Amino acid sequence: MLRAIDEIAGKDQLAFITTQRVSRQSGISDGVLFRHFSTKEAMLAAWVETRGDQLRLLLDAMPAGRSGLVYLLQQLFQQKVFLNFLCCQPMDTPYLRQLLDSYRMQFIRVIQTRIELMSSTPIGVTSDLLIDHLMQSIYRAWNPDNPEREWQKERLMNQLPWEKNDIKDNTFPSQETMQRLALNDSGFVFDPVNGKSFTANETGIYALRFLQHSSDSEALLLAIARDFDVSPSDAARDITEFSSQLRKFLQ
Amino acid sequence: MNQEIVKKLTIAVTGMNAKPDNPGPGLAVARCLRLAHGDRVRIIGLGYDVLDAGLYLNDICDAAYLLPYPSAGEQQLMERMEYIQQQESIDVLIPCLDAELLSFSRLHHEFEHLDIRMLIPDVSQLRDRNKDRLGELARNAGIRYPETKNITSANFFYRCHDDNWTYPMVVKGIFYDATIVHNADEGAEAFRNIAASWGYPVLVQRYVEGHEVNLTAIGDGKGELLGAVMMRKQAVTDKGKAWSCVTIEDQRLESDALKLVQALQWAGPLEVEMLKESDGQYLLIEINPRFPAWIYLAAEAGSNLPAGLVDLIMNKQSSFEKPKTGMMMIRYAQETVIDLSTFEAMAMHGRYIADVNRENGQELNHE
Repeated sequence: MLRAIDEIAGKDQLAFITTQRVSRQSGISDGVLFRHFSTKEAMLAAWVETRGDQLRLLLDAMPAGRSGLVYLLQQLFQQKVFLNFLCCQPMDTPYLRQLLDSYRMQFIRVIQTRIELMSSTPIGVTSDLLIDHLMQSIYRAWNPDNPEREWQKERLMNQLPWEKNDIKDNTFPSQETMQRLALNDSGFVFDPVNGKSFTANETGIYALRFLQHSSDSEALLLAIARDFDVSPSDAARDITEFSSQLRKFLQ
Repeated sequence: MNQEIVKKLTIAVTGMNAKPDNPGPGLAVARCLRLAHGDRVRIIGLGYDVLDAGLYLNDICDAAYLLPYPSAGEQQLMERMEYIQQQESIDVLIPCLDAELLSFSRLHHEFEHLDIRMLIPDVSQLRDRNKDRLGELARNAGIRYPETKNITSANFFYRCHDDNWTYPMVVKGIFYDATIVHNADEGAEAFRNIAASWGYPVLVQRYVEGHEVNLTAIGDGKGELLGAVMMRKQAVTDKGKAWSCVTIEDQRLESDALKLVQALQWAGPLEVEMLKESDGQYLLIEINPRFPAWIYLAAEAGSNLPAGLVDLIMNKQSSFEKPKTGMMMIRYAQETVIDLSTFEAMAMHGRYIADVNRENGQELNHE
């Protein structure tokens, strides 16, 4: 039964789950299911609690430091059930949603504490931004609709998303997303997919134009340091902040 | 020289009410037709109230008539339509109001008999998109829908916490109207107001945070979605109607709308309203069986759906252009001034013919 729900969550269809579907997927008859669980909600609650507790065990077993985090990512991607548990769109029943969210928050808090204790994080970037970046990267590598998830997954199993070489593709929204933006010299930016418009200053427009042609944020850093009066470390921090704002705008 | 008198294509459009905070779509549909065809078509405005301003705008409507309110019954409507048809010989009718669609759909054959053509959904398609059945439709099409409950008593608002319902929530009428309520007293008041206007059951829906995105298109009745135009509301009136909006292109919205059109085998114009949550998930809010009041934006953005609908009905080659994104509309109010005789003609005879330089339904064609 748990595996059947895992699979449905893996297709991101938890919101449409029915007892019949679980019964069909698991090969257990309706009658037997109902003998153990009086309602669909009881069944889902059992799933959330079991997988949530297993995830907690996995967190407890995580070694310290950067290698511990990478080890955890490897475990997550090898045992897809936990990824489904963390990434799938939640069910509509409020108390189940809350239960699921509380396990997810717990996961995020543990990881964030680990990140804060790490010595090799980018200078001047808060752990809020890093955990946000990590969770987004995990989601992208899981998202069944993302055609690029295989190689994103491969990379996440070997290095953290903010580590060198990696900033390139993962920090900013994809090049495809950047290319859809309508940019104007006056600083006006319009996203034709979500209908939002915002303004960016001269450097912002420079960076956006750059990112429409290249997703290499290392190269962007060099270009900004060359063309503007700014130290490389300031530029690196600004780029990270800019990318995080951009991700929010382009949601 | 051989002269032949050719009748102009005559198109009737309902929903000419144009209150600034909540305009009917009829006037915008008529403006789209004028934009596409200029004076080459004759447009007949149909309204229900002498104060429907669109009826008097003589650069848009060549003639205007009042219809009996839907509550008067279908026989009265049919008699009135027969009279109007004798005067105007309408070729195409575009109904634009939710409340009249059911009667028009039921009278489909009678209209055909009068040589009035329409492309509208049938009775069962209309029923399936009713607010109280929308959840089932969404589930079948694999689209999320906010949890909704039919209620018949205001007591619900005082006990809802027992069933895991929390404030704020949305109270909705079965046909129309929606209010966000933040506590039990507000809920009970909204319940009474809505029940008084729209009857029972009243619906309560979980409140979801996000922004609204809308799509309008035409269903061809075979599962195809034609000429989709999408927009995001930027500002709304007190009644939650678009006051300013901008065209967008959102593939997820379009594919969800297509799923609905396929599930319903929808025929005719429609508007799909969805809510996009901050995490990028979509929820269905409602499906309207007509063009929206913002349809003129679609035409100016390059996809003139009312003109396309007329071509489709007349079996002409119709092509739907891809609309331009980033086109923005801002709605404004304007007055029209009429003299007493015009008002009298409408109040006493339910009829007004514009006195402009367009020959009455006829045009000379030189061969």
